[in-house]
Amino acid sequence: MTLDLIVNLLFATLNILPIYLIASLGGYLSQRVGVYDISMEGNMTFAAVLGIIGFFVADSPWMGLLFGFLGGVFFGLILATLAVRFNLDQIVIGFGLWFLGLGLGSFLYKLYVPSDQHTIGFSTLGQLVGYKGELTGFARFLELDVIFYLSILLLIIISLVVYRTRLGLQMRATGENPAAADAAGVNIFRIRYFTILVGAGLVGIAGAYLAVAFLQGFTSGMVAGRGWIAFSIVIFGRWKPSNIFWGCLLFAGINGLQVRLQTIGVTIPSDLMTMAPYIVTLIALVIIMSRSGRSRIPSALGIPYYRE
Amino acid sequence: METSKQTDQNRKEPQHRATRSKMPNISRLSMASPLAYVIAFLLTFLIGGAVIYALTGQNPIAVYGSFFSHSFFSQYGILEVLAKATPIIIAGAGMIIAFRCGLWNLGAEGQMAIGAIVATAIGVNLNLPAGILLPVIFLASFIGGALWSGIAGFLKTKFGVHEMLSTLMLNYIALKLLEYMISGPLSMPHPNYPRTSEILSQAQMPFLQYPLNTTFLIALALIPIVWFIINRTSLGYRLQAVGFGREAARLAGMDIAKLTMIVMLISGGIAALGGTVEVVGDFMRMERNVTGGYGFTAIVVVMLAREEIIAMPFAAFFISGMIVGASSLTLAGIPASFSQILIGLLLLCVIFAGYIERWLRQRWEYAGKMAC
Repeated sequence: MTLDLIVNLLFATLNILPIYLIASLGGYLSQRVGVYDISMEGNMTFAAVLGIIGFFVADSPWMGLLFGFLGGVFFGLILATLAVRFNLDQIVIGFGLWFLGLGLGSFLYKLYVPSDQHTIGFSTLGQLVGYKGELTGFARFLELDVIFYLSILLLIIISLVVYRTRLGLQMRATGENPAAADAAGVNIFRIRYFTILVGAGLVGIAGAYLAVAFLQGFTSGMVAGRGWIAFSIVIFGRWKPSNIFWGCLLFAGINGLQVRLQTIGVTIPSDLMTMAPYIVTLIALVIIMSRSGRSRIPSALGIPYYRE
Repeated sequence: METSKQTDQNRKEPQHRATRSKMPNISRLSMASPLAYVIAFLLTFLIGGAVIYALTGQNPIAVYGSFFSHSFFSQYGILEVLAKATPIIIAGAGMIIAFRCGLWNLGAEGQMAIGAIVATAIGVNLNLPAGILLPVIFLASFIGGALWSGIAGFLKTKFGVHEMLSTLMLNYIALKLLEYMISGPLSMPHPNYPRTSEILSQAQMPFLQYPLNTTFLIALALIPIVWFIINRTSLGYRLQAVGFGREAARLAGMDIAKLTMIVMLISGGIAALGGTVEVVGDFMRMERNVTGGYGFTAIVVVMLAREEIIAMPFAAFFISGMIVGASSLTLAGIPASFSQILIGLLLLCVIFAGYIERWLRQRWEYAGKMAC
């Protein structure tokens, strides 16, 4: 009975994980090269609506993700142009994009999303390999959808690229000491542009996935601070992919617990229960901040780079 | 999130910025001149018009005609703009105190929600004469909001949690609390949709002329008060010193932790009144959308006003006009969220126009030197 409960909780958690994981990896990338992407909340809202529109264009969740990705890249392009090309204040740009994303999101939603907006998510691993049997125990990993596995793959790829490749070295150098990297022949602007576009695109994918596969529809205010939570995860993950993974697991766990408690009929008012992720964010921030330790904050984070 | 400190220390300061004689303004838009603002406004409406044309196919000029005639160019429109500006001005006044101290209090929305909850709880239940009840409501809301933002202040001073993240999270928590209150403890008997009962008639503030309520006068009165606190008191001097240079202020012997706490309390207390006036001067009860996102809008307003308290009401008036104007477009099939698009664009355009202006000025000075 309790084991069942724990297994159920685990899978509810893993179901939600990709949203946080993809979004915070996207945010991580742009912070890695020294640029705050504060607009994640707005970006996700915009991409969520684009995802739904994309779904109905081709009747495919993959088209939804593609639309979300392109929406994210569009936001990344604005961010990179204003923050990297023109060296303007990243915080102000972030707030501007946040509002723009919220506005464009509900604007497009009211105009273009059909009233019956029920979307269908991705096929599960089980469907993909053609497994027909009953899903119990470890076989339940087959009921997680493809994006879950792709998001884990993404985590591994990003860790490898950032820490094991020449490109990753250039990215880290750009975030730590752009002047030195520039002197060593790294094209700071190209690295920053590229990384921010990819990062913002990933945030867009997370938004589209949230709408198309997880909630299967759009309601206003649907992102509900998940963008900000993903932003916080990067901060208290101390700019390290493995920590970011644990942070995402924690938040997915809170969300999963919420879902499970509701289904087994625990009578905590749902409004109070939905507060939990935000309260956990606060507690996590307190724990991380009060633990002394070397901060791995990219030294050039938030600082415009002027070529001498 | 050690951003603000680092950026302020390391950013290359343009020359002309150091010539300001009064206490330096730490605002992130402080470079933009009035001309840059005018250009930014034009650019915003230009891009906004392009968005309208591209997405709805309607003639932007006709749309803007309706937009302005329903906001700035009619008597009812102006009154509504002022009415909508009321909570924004109050929330902005609270936020400015924190911003000038270098504290990113982004929690006005949540603080407003707490103010609304407190005001409703008292306004519905406490049967006192108006002369006593209203001051009690405002005082209690202030205390409620102060305690709420005090959480962020406590986390900052005790654990070093950046107030930007904590206040943002507190926003969502407060909004959930508000939803819980209207569907649970404060819910009216048998509502059609979640809402509370109407507050007692003596707690309802009178209208100057519908839809403008007397609460607008409270917002106006706050401006000189906050101006006085910032510019004419020892507290204001100290908070500005901290805002300009935290380390220098600490070396000068200021108790940063205590000051941070005081500033967060005052800032949150004032911002909470933005929610209070929505209850006692507009809704007369509490509903889901009682805070209306004005606390978030106030962030942009404060940035546009370059954290100057005197300029802030004008920015609030303008932004409020965008909200009112856009909401009038729903009849023409244009969603009211057009205002959010405009607000976001405006912020981006102002910062960009500031850049263009700086660039032109450098060009100008360079050409001048060459001529000599």
